[in-house]
Amino acid sequence: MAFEELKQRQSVMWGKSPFVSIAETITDLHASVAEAMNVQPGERVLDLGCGTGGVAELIARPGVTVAGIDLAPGLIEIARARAAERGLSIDYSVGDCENLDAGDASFDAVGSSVGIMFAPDHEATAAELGRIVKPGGRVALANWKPGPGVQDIFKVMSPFQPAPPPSSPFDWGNEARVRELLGDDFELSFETRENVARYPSGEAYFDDMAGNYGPTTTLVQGLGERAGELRAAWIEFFGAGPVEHQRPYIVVTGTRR
Amino acid sequence: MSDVWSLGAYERLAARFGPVQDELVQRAGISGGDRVLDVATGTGESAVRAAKLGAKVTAIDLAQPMIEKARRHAEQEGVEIAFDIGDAEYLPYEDACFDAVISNFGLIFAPDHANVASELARVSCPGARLGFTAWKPNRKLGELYRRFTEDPIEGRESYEWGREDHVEDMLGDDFELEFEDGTLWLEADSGEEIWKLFSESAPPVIALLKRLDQSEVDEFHRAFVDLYESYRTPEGGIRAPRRYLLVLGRRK
Repeated sequence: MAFEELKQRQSVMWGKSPFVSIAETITDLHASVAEAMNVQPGERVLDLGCGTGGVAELIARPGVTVAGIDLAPGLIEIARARAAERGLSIDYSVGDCENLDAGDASFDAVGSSVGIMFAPDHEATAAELGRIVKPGGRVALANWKPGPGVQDIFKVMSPFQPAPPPSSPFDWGNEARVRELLGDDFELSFETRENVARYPSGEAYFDDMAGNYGPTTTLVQGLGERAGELRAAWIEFFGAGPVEHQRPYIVVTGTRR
Repeated sequence: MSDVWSLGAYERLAARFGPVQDELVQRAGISGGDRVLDVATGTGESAVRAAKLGAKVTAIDLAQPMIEKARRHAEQEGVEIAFDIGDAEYLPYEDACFDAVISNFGLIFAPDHANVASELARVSCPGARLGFTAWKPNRKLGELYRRFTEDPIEGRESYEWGREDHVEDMLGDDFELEFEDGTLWLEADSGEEIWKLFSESAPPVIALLKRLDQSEVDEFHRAFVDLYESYRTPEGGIRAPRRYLLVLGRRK
């Protein structure tokens, strides 16, 4: 499948559901990114693949110019409404992290909390990060690691997916691969942390994801009657009782050479 | 193979599969007068169901103790079934002599899938229906078994039959195929109850236990109970899904 067609589908997919309740389960990732961005007064900064604006909201303060970009118009709309409610000035727009409107060296810091990892063309995304960050500027990413963790969710869903993705988002959780992608442009450091998702039952976990997580919502809607089988597969994997799902991620911090 | 399947009180486990056997016989469209073959019949549950619908049923299994139990089961239910001991890979029947061939978690355990597939095609008359069920891979059970044995305990390839593309490869030339996903919900008061069921009634589990020493048996027992305890619902009892594929075909 052409990347363009896939991205068209992704832009709809991620906007299919409100995401807000999922974002609440990964506030530690948003905080990790916000901290690693180390935003200073007077800077111009970007939350890339911002979703409903989890990172942008943390770094927004007077004297800092904050932008948020996401592929999904549905999520940008929610992010704008949230910023308005909170009285935050954040410049949200719809855009593609593989091909940004932003000028060269236009940001002091760019952050992404499990955002850019889901863009299919990893090299294109990496090249854009190198292009838009000023020399001496920072990149800060939180990316799910491959293996047990969030990849479990994608493995449970994969037999129900019409086509496998052209690239694995979890490559961005692999230190060696991130060095290949960003090492020429950025001085990098890495840290592994763990997020824990807690739900009263396997079914509650499924229901939250089916209602609020774009990739799962889209899949469930497409499955129709077979959605019950995905629910069974989910419970088979996560159990019926209380769930404590350990989901490791890496925090990548880079300084533009 | 026949040794493994001679072990334990399989009828108790098979009784748990009742809803699947009902579905299988119904979806395969079995009706009065059909010549039906039940492959790897085990303790005969599907064969008995087909016979009760008035079909003329033949049932075959590799394991003599299974056939004896199946025969008693048929007698108790007051139905007549022709039982044979034999191998799904080399069926002792004429070409094109059945109107329907069924198998409930049976033929999937024969080691050579291509042999089984060609035999299914051979004994089916043109237009005959095919219906069988196959377990889908279960990662958690797979990981548990792999801690104690290198070979998947239900045979290296049985879960392949739970994949539509594999079934198409094996049978697509000879049968028009349809697929349905199903889930059998295993319900019990405790993980220990499910352990008792499987350690006494599931031949592959019994065969594995015989190969382990006592400390390994204890460890396997604990891990098995823990796994099923993870399916304890917030309301109380255990409710564990086991997913399967229902394959329905028509002989071209």
